Amino acid sequence: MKGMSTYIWRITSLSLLLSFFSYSALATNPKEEKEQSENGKKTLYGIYVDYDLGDLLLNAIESQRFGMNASVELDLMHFIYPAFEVGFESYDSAPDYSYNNTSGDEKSSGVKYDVDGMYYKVGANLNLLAKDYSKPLTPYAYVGARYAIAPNYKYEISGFSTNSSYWPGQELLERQKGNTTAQWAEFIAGVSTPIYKGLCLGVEIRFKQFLYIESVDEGDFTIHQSYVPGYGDKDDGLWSFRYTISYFFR
Amino acid sequence: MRYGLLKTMGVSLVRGWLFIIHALVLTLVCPSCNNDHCDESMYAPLGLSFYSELDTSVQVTPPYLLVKGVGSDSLMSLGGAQRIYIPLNPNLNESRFLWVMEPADGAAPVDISTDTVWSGQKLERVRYLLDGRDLVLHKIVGDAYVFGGDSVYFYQKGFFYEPCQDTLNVSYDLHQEFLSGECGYLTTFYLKSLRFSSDKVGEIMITNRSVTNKYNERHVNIYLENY
Repeated sequence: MKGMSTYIWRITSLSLLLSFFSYSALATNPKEEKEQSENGKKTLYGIYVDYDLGDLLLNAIESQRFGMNASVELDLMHFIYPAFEVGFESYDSAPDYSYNNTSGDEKSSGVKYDVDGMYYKVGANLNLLAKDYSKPLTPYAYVGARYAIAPNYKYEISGFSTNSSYWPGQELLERQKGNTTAQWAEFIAGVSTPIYKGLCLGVEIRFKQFLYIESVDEGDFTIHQSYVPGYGDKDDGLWSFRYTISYFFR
Repeated sequence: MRYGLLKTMGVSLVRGWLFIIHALVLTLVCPSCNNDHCDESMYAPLGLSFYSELDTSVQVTPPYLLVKGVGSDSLMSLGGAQRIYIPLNPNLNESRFLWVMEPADGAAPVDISTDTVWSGQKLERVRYLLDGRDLVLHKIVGDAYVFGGDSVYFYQKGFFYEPCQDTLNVSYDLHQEFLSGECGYLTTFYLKSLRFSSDKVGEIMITNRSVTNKYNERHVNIYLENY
């Protein structure tokens, strides 16, 4: 997994770097640069409303997943962008259950591990590019952080059996259903650029780290959560990408 | 004016396309990193360590030890180790194991005679006879011959020997831990009691009642008689 993360990180870095140079080459105009000044500097330039296109793509690729995510960002002085995100995700990761299959490729049927719920993220981005205060809408490259919470999201587990390659027979385990909560932090690097009037496209990479994930004890059962709405798979979700289409309201 | 607008739109579109191309590349790469297999150990075996009953601080190694779960078809040959791991039954609150080992004070010989059955020029099978009755051979594991009815005899230097045979009874509480969609449930055990049916093998002491999937976990010491 570490090798895969490195591979993804390299591709992402290269991609972001390419993006950055592309935008710089296209956006930099010496005349415009000269016109930049502190004059006309405003506190609030406007509000971005973002929608995550990545969710749409993932919904199309992964049939067991459905999610959507939107955010609001304030452009304060073209420097700091306080942000609030809200999203919903449902996922059934049980089709991946393959522990008891000897063939390795065959997926088990009849098992279910459904997770669904809302999640919320608050934080801010900091613009790293030179600011042109005379324009309300400019490309920006940023780093940022988020505090995220998926409060009281639902889970349902059913159809799993006990497993032993040594002992004959299987016991079907009773269905487990409940609610739980997870919190995590995200660190962000990304770019956003206007493409036409107030319409912008953006791409960002996120590094996530769990702060708290609640395990549920019920009698003879302990339920550890491996998938969290808004975070993804606990073991694989360390990195994620967000591709946004946004509109800038002045 | 019109040219300027088109140029502006063109530049914007190029910017947008660059984003879309990069986004698509990343999106296609991303799902391939999904982990769709279980990385956790789903095996929570009972760890048994052997000590001498004569000097309880000395670990000993039984040269021959066969363990077979009562109800399972698998016979485990576990001799030559100071510590062994055996799987508990996750479907019941109790596991029983047929326990076969060479006694330390020497095995008693058994009068099992052999005969050959021929089909023309071809050897069809070997008959094993104990007190005139046929023993049905199930399998041979090392020096151990396993016959029907779970009777086991050691065969060394042309003679059969009766091993030290007992049944280990383990009772426990079951606990189910859901680890992930990929792994499902891991069954862990809380030991309540362990005992041999007779006192032929030795004494048992539980040192850790919780049987989990942690590597190298120890649970029980068995103080072997006459070792």
